[in-house]
Amino acid sequence: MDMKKIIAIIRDERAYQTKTLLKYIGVKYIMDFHVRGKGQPTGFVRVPDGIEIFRRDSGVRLLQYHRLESYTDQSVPQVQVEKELVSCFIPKRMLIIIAEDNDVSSIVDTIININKSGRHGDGKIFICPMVYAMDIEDNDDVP
Amino acid sequence: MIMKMIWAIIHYESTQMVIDALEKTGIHAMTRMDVTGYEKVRGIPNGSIGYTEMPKEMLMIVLADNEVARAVTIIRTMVKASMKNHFVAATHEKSRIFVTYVEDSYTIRTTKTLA
Repeated sequence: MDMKKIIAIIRDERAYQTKTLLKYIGVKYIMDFHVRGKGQPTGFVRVPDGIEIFRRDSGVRLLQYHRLESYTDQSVPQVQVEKELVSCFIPKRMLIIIAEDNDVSSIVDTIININKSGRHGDGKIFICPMVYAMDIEDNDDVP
Repeated sequence: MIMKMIWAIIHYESTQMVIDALEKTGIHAMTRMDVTGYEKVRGIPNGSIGYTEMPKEMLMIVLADNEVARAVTIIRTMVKASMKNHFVAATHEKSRIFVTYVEDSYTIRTTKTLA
């Protein structure tokens, strides 16, 4: 019986929903960590004066555009500046699940179904090998 | 293409330098978390009472197999460079890098495997 370690890095607000649905399909043990993560630079834009602009859809249009000039003086024309795509750390949730080999595909499907929103930052799932897993309370010898 | 996972447990003082150096070479995706722990020397001994819960930062980076060696050398050089002036922390608590296998990896947005 092979065991696998599933490391899922998901959005903070979907963690509760994910955990409750994983409970329904028979996952008993979940480790939950508050982490900060970042991915490929697609969502945030850094302009030279240091103001960051949040862009919801990647590479399509700017939803919010904060410039200091727009608040202070409207008559000053805004200068076109070179924009640099950056990624910054945002709060994420890391779920670690130890599961048997047969249950891995159903767990992965459940996590993807709940967390899929079609936008950047939905997260990643990694499946790692595991040598063995055992309960500490049991008196079995180490295999 | 085989993917591998790097767990780097490093000092707080060197985290930002490591992240900046990795970003310059094109490694952007990573996860960081706060951890505590101690090493063989049991933290910083101070008489009968020692400090065994040393605050550290853990970086988790998943990379292709051919990029792992480059990332490890960057992390090592930047940690060594930034910890030159922190003698106590650098001598009593060393940083560690662990590399493990990743069998399968998915992007949730596209439901595709990375490898």
